[in-house]
Amino acid sequence: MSTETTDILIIGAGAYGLSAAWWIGERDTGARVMVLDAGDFAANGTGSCGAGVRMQWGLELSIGLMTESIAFFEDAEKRLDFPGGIEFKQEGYMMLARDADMLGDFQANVERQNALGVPSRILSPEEALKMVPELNPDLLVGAAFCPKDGTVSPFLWLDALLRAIRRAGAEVRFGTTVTRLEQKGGTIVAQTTKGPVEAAKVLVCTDWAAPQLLAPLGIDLPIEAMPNEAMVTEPWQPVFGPCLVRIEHGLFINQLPRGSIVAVVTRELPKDESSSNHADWLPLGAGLFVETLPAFAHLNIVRNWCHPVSITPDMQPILGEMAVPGLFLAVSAYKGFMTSPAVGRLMADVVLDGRSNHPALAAFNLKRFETGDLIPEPLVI
Amino acid sequence: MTAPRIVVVGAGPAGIMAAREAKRRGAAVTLIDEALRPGGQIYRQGDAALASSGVGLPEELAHKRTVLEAFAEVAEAAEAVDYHSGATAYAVFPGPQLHVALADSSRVFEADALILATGVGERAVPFPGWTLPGVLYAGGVQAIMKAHGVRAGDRVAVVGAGPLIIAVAAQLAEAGAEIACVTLLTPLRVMARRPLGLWAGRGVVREGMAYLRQLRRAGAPVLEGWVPVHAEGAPAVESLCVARHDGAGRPLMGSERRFDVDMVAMNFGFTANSELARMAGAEVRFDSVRGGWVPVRNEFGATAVPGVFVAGDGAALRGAFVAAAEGRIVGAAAVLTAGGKGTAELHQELAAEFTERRSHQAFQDALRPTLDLPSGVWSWATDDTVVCRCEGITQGRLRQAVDEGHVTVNGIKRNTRAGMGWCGGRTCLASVAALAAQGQAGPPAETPPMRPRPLARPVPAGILARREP
Ligand SMILES: Cc1cc2nc3c(=O)[nH]c(=O)nc-3n(C[C@H](O)[C@H](O)[C@H](O)COP(=O)(O)OP(=O)(O)OC[C@H]3O[C@@H](n4cnc5c(N)ncnc54)[C@H](O)[C@@H]3O)c2cc1C
Ligand SMILES: Cc1cc2nc3c(=O)[nH]c(=O)nc-3n(C[C@H](O)[C@H](O)[C@H](O)COP(=O)(O)OP(=O)(O)OC[C@H]3O[C@@H](n4cnc5c(N)ncnc54)[C@H](O)[C@@H]3O)c2cc1C
Repeated sequence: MSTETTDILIIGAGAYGLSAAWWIGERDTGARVMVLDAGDFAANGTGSCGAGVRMQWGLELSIGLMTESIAFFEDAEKRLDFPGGIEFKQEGYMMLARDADMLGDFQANVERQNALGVPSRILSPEEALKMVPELNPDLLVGAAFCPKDGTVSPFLWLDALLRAIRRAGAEVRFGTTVTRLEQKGGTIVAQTTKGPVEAAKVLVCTDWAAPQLLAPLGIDLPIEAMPNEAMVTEPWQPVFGPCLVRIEHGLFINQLPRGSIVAVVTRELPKDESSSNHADWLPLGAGLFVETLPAFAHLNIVRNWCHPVSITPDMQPILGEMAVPGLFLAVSAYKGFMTSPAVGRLMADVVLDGRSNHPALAAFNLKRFETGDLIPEPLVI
Repeated sequence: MTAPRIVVVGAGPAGIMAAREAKRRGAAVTLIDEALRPGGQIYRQGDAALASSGVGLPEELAHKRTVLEAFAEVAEAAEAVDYHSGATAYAVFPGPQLHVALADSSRVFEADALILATGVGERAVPFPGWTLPGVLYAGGVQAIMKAHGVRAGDRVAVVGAGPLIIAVAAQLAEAGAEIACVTLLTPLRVMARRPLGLWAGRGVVREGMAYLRQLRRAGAPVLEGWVPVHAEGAPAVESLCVARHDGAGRPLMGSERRFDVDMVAMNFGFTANSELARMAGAEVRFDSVRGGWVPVRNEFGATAVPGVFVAGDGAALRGAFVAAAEGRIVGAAAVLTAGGKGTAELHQELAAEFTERRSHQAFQDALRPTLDLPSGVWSWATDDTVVCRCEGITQGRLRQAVDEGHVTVNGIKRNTRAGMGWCGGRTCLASVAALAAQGQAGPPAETPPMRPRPLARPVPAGILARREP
């Protein structure tokens, strides 16, 4: 098969790959961009996610990425010229405290967040109930709340990006798997199921599947896959405002603007790249859902799905250029949907200029796992 | 040796006969059905509180008695079949284990063999106005008559493809409705191309003739080679426009006829309830007439997944007689396979059942062209016709997705949300697949269906939360 060429090849059409492609186009350098994806549109982590976006994090770095990203989501309809918008329901995240100790921790977080410009605050049980009357009052000790957080439709987000980058001239192909990356002179050749593609620069955005592409080039990535599972109810009106989190259970609940309620329960599972459902998950997920929102026990669950997320030793992203010149990587560690606007921008800068002044780039490098400078985030769900 | 545990889903002819056969052969049998009374679709029983509504011709009612007697035999036996009515099977996991929603809790049934006899659902072809109140599925109209003794309309058009249309129209006439018109996509006489098949099904053919006579007596026009063009009315249907078609399903302009109606009963074939089989890991193949994506099985109903069998219409639409004969084959094979018997022995032991199934199958082959949908039928919907009712997705939006390069069912689903709602795509999938096929100029066989995931049917969170130990 004859070899196709492009200037920048992006592997993976999830939130990271498409956002990076869009920002590269924004820079208007004339570089030719090709995006390849093994699957269908949105058949990936992004299309399987809980759809939550929040700036309520514990670290300045995480907060910085999310302040920028949420500002972009607010503006996405205009920036991406996507009439109708991306269903950004910006009515906050409510993190329920289990007990007084946890509420104390939340209080400390809120103070740190406020100092960094995040408008979070502590809610009394009464205030929480006023926002979500269906909440189980017995669970309520208090909550942390940030009104800037919320939920965005992953499908509309990907569709908005996809259309915008195609309009800008990028070539996006689904159903094309990259089987191997090879160094050839100063370029990289991607062997694919539809023939080889040669590019000066390659950006790998394949989330937990990245290690298998980079290992043959001698790059060892400390990334593993862990299955994560979710369910969705039939639509129900009225729609309550905030997304709900019970951090000690890994529970995240989110009512979409159209009324259906998504519940994610993240739990420690053996590392596994399969997306098969687990036989014991529905009683767990439905159990926590009903315990949190007893008034919704009658709601029908219509679908239950599973997808792996990327796990790194400190649960922070790995971003930047690799030891092979021209080869770049962006893997999120289980928050790639919400961070994609900011990460896309900084990856575009790194790919085009070899550098970015964004502090996240310097921090979230691959070397930290050798030097031991891990950056653990306290508010991981 | 302990008795093999056989779990059967579906108490229609296939499931009942499978349960009885397995029981007679010494298995410990569980029978799960979401309906409140056994019988399945065609042999649906009336509400227990109603006197028998007895919808159907005497021949059909005689078969119904036979199947219900088989049920009574196993339900009343010592060590009876463990029968759960009003119980919804919503997932299959490796084992095989079946996850079931009961009245107030959910329970896991472990099986040595699982027999899925889940039947079919009805297939619609969207046309302008098909979502108006008063436009119903023809089989659903029949089910309302059978279960509740209720006639869903007074002045009715019955439109679609295949013999069910004639049966439902005649049953409505019998129930006192005025039949404004009956339209069939393909004339029933195409069956005459297979005279041997017709002969094999002569009993059914006689029933069909009797229905046609009833319609003639009632003065109902039966228009063969006609299709619906649009339904109109506010807030509910008031009229239906139909037209002759060009042989490929496209209406011929100028041939339209309009009928005033207060109900339209529609059916364009069936979709196999194959979700549980697919969740179990069974491979599927595409057969547009026999139910869309249907599980691949051997002659005993066994899929390639150990311990997972499929019987009756849920495996491929072939009607109640095939379902009953096949139920016996699969019920026996499930027990015998668990007991380690080889295929040669099975063939010998089940020779009579195989002969019976083959004979009914011959008639079904003759019937096949009446249910074939030419590609033109998918052009009935205009851009503003809603195709996915749950999410309100129009044909125009679907077409846009295809034009933008989303040519697989999964891709179109995620791009438009079609198929993500309450029904899990059971209603719109056939339309989406047909569009996808147009987009990639190949048969939908090449586009895998949506990935099978729980839940095969919606189940309340509270019931899932209470799992029995
Ligand atoms: C149940 C669940 C809930 C979640 N909830 C949230 C949440 O609320 N908020 C949040 O921010 N994050 C959430 N996440 C995590 C989030 O989904 C992921 O971090 C994010 O989607 C990753 O984006 P990505 O673009 O890096 O990867 P993906 O979206 O997974 O895209 C990677 C793409 O790479 C392609 N690919 C892989 N290998 C190859 C190859 N060899 N050749 C070609 N293509 C290839 C894949 O087909 C895929 O399309 C959740 C995840 C799950 C599973
Ligand atoms: C509405 C309708 C009307 C029909 N009318 C006729 C007719 O008049 N004449 C004719 O020849 N054919 C008719 N058919 C075709 C008919 O389905 C078959 O001829 C025959 O009933 C097939 O038998 P079966 O045992 O394979 O399936 P069915 O008789 O359909 O039995 C399947 C059973 O499985 C149960 N079930 C399915 N899924 C689940 C689940 N997840 N959990 C628990 N239970 C489940 C259902 O409640 C049902 O009782 C009709 C079909 C439909 C859908």
